[in-house]
Amino acid sequence: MLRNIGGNEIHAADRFFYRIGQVAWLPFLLFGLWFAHSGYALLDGRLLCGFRAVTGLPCPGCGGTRAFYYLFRGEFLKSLAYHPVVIAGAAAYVHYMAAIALRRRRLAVRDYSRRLLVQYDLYWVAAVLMIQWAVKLWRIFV
Amino acid sequence: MNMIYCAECGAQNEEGAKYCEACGAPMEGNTETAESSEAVSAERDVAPAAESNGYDAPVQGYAASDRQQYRPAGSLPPKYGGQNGGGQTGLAIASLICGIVSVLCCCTLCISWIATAAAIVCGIITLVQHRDGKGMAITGLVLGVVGLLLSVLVVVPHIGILIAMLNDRRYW
Repeated sequence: MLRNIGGNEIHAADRFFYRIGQVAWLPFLLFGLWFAHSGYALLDGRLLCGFRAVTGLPCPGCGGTRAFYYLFRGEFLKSLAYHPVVIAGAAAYVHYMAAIALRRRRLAVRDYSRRLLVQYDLYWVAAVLMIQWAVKLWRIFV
Repeated sequence: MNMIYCAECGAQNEEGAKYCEACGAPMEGNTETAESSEAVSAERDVAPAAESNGYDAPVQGYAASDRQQYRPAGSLPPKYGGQNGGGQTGLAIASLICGIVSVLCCCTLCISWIATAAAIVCGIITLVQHRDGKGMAITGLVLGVVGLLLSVLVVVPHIGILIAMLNDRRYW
């Protein structure tokens, strides 16, 4: 499962984003817990989607706030139902940090041959974002 | 510690390094040491005696500085990390991230327009200057344009209302 890859396999940009990931997870977690506990109530339905108000259709970001709220309430299925990008983004973060951490220890699950790893997780998030929007529109029109 | 030079890009690496720090090319069996590189450059600097054939072509040899003129970033095959292994991927990554933000926040006009502008500018610079990360730049450009179109759809009806208000003298 884990293979010894040896050498310095980490791209400079990956080292940069790994450092950001190491620093940002705690404030992000604290903000999420505060938002789920009391921040969401402050919105009180004031957050309206301008795109939905004009066209009647959901925008690619619709449901994201509720998905974020339910993620930090521990209701992962509801979070996934409202907006899959929130769960997909969390999964991408965990995958990326684990992959870089393994490479720092000269181990790897797959050998990317020193390719930039962050691009794969970004492509994944972009794909989930567009596919979930397409599915929402398809369910409305079909 | 002896320093070794990458045969692909000429960058200096520590002896024993398996991959070049600059370009990602494998170093095993593909290196020049400091001593051998000087011997090679000395040999190359000697211009060969050329017979005159009526054409005064300039005789060129490889100087030590030519080793620094390595291939442009991204030109190495992907197997050796050439694609996205050269290091100039910052703008491409920024384009992709801004493109995602632009689409995600298309109804939050300020955020969307700033992200759209950043995605498009970074993507164009990446493509025009042939930097690494062409795929990310194109994806960021496309997402930025999609985000722009979506945010325009939000604004256009409000512009119509604004124009109607300006034309109606009751509001003056």
